[in-house]
Amino acid sequence: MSIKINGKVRDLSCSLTLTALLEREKSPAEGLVVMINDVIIPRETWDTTKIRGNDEIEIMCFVSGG
Amino acid sequence: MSDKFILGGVVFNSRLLTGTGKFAAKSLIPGMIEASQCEIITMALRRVDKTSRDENVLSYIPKEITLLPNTSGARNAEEAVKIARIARAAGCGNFIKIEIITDMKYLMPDNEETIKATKILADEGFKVLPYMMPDLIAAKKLEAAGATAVMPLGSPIGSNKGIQTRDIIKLIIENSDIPIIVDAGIGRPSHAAEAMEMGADAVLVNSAIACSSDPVKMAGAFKKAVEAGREAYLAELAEVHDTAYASSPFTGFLEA
Repeated sequence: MSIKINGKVRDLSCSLTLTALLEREKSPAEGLVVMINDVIIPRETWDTTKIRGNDEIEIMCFVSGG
Repeated sequence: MSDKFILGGVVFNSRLLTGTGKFAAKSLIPGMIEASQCEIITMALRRVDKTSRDENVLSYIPKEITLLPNTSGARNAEEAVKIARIARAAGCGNFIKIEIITDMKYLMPDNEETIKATKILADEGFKVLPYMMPDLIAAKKLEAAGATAVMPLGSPIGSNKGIQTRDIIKLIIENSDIPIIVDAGIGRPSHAAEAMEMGADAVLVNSAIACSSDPVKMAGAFKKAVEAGREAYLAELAEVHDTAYASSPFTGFLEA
């Protein structure tokens, strides 16, 4: 199935949980903010949130700024 | 009588806000915070970039520091509101610095879109600190829209040119009922002192500290400057005159 991560199209061979996807993406362990289809996904639900086809996922974090 | 800085219902001891941008190494940030004694610090929200290491700036900020995420990257009110909601949902608290910029040369903020975003976010319970181009009417509109404070720029971001907009900032300070925090362009501790002497409630300094040769030492210098400027303001500065006023009476016994 096809999904988008941070604006880039990716193909997944099977459905994953959000936690599993973040591990596959080698995302930093802390300080992440994740949205799926413009909805912020609370951290406590990452283990049970399934990624579906055509999902648009934004993986963000806080960076330096003035 | 204590001179506390109250912002959004929270009492702060420091009137120096700092930023986390432009440091040669993020490892400098904890030392900078300690030297500046700042209690409020800004950061931005971005997509995770796998090519960068140690991207999460929050890990360099002590837990007791109040986070002030900014909406940098926003080109209009809608985008600023989106970023603010994400920041709050991420656990950053209610403070938000609105930064709406489409001018890439001078990074001038869009006052009109900033007013729109301020109204929406203030109505949602955010403590809104809008970064704005000094303009008395816009400042009053931001206040009416529910801003917690107004942040007029001194000169373009990163220019270190000081309080180029001082005359308008003075008008805003004199006519506002909410705190005024001078943000952007403060390049030297003397600029920060000048802003405080004018009656600003606080200043926000990033580039001048981060881009100096010794950011920790510079942070300490800014701390002292902000305190000195505030004390001078409270002591009420002596009047300025066009002619001289002698410090001692003229010596009568020398006259023939």
